[in-house]
Amino acid sequence: MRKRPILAFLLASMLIAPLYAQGISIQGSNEMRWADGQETLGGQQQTKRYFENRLNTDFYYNRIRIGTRITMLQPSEFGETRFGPETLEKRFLEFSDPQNNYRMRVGDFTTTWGRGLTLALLEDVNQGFDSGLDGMLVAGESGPFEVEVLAGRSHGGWLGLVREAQISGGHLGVTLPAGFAAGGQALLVTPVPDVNSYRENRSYGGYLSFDGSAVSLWAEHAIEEVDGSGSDHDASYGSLSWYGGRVGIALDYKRYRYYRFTSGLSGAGSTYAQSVGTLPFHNAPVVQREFTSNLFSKHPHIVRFDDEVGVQLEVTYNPTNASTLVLSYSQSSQFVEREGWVPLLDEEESPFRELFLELTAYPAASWYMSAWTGYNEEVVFTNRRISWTRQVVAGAGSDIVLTPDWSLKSSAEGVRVEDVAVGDDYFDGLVVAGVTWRSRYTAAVTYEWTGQQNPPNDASQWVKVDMGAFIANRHELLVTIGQERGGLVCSSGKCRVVTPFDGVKVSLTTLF
Amino acid sequence: MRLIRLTANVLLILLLLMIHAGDVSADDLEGKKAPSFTLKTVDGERYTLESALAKGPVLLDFWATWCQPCKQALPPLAKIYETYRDQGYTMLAISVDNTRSVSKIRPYIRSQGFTFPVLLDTDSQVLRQYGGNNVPHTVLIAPDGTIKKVWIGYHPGEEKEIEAQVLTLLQPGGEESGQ
Repeated sequence: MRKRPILAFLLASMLIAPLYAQGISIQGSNEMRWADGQETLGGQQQTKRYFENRLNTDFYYNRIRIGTRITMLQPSEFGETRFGPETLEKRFLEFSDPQNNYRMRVGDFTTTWGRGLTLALLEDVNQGFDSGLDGMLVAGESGPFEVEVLAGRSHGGWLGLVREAQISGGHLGVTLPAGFAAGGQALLVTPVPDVNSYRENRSYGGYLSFDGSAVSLWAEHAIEEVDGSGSDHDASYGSLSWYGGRVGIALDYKRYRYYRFTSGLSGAGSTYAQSVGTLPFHNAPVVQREFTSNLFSKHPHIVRFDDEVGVQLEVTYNPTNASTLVLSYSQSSQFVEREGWVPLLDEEESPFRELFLELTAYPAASWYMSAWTGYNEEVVFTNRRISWTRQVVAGAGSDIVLTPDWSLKSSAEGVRVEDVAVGDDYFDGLVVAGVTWRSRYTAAVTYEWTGQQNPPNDASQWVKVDMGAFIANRHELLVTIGQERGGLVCSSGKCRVVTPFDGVKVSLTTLF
Repeated sequence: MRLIRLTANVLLILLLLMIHAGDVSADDLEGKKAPSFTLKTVDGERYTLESALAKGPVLLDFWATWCQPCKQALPPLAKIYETYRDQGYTMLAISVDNTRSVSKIRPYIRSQGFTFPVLLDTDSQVLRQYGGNNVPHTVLIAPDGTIKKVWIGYHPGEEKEIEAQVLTLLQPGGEESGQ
């Protein structure tokens, strides 16, 4: 039933361009990804081939913008196939008036209210996650007030999981004197009959913020009501920032107990996984450092949005004009059973804590270097059984411009992992060396190894070659040949299993 | 059947690319109109591309606090900004940090002493308008609002090319060279 309007929209988009070529400006990009090789899934090797192509096009005509994304998946990296009329993945029509500060959009969109406790529609193509809406958005500002109203149907988060929902809601913000601002929002999520597993969900939230010359403050709270759930579900977030001279400090706090629709890592063992199945429209700050270093980030802490309280302190210090020191400490634990407000290190609370220190510097204009070290430990307490992991990492890297044409890149790091769950204590290492020619062509070799007694998939070392070229100021070509270790990758609290791969990957991005 | 579907989709994409080709200049992106935008600064003020273009050439540098190559590129780009800002050149550092890390932007920027405007593109809408999917993504725009050059990613030494392009636009008659 939905194919006819999509086809009509596609044809209209195709016809409009040549007809109004004089007045219409067109901007876009095409991204192609292809791979052929073997992946290891559940200990078994199998053929892995995918071909993805995403053509993004924006048509501008005065204050009107028409956007389309044609996505062909034959199949995608995550196994989804899309062809025929379904390839028109995104389309929208937008009218905006920057002078009078308002815009209207019909079609696909994402938006964020406050810090996302009530609503943050998120799309992450690399993670295969999309909770954007297909509907209508009206946003405007007048004096100190800003308002946003939306309604539509969601893409439902993880691609491949058919869980659509009808969304409607509104946000009102007001700028107050003396650097203060406040806002409130309400969201209604209703199930679409026959296609989803949602229950009716109502969320309300509000925030207060302050921006001063040296201090910023943000406090936000959201309440979630779910039909059939007798428990309280809410989320609190706060951040306090201070900056003076060469120092900047950010202190973040979280306390999340969202309703959980699915448990654990649904989809684990397949090519992707969902961390904890809270509503895909609630994307609150993770309050931890998600990317630290290549090896350290391979054992991420998965944020339990249904039961987690935590803090993060990040201090940035600029000792000289050419160097920066960043210290990050985060700690979190469960809290729902004890109704607590602070993260504890008691084993029964499944605590996690991490300390990471990073130094980056330009010792000379043509030499950039970095060094890092970190420590983290996580306890998982389930069914009166305790297991824990502990990691210590250290590494360093360097980028040197040798001549106007050539530069050299290198890095090395090692991590010691104690994993009680599998009774192993081992060392992992990673070395990267590469060159860049005329800032346009790159080649790098990566060698990674593990000292695990019984490594998953019986592999203990991986070698790959990455090559890149930026051609004619509009094409970026990336080729990877060799083995990739894979692992769990988290972004904005969304975690996905990347399976070990051995073969060739090619991506070509073209701007037009 | 699979082959037919694949062929049909490839033809569809080629057809669209042919339509686009009629509007795209033969060489590259040079001369295309830069999409206008309005974003809020980290201090909560509205900022338009047009207000920066009124002074001279503009460099858009899309970055994020969690992106190491982005932070590697910022100091040399800041030097270029400090050198030429009095001549009308503007650098706009557009952060695509979303809710997970937006609180880290101001402490980082202030501690570094950067003086260029920092704008917030929390759902990456403006980045996508400029054809970017990842950061860093850098776009140089001539004062007449046309795109002069695009850089995907950051490679050491690239700042020399950026500075040379900025100088071209700052020279008398440089605006025309952006067309």
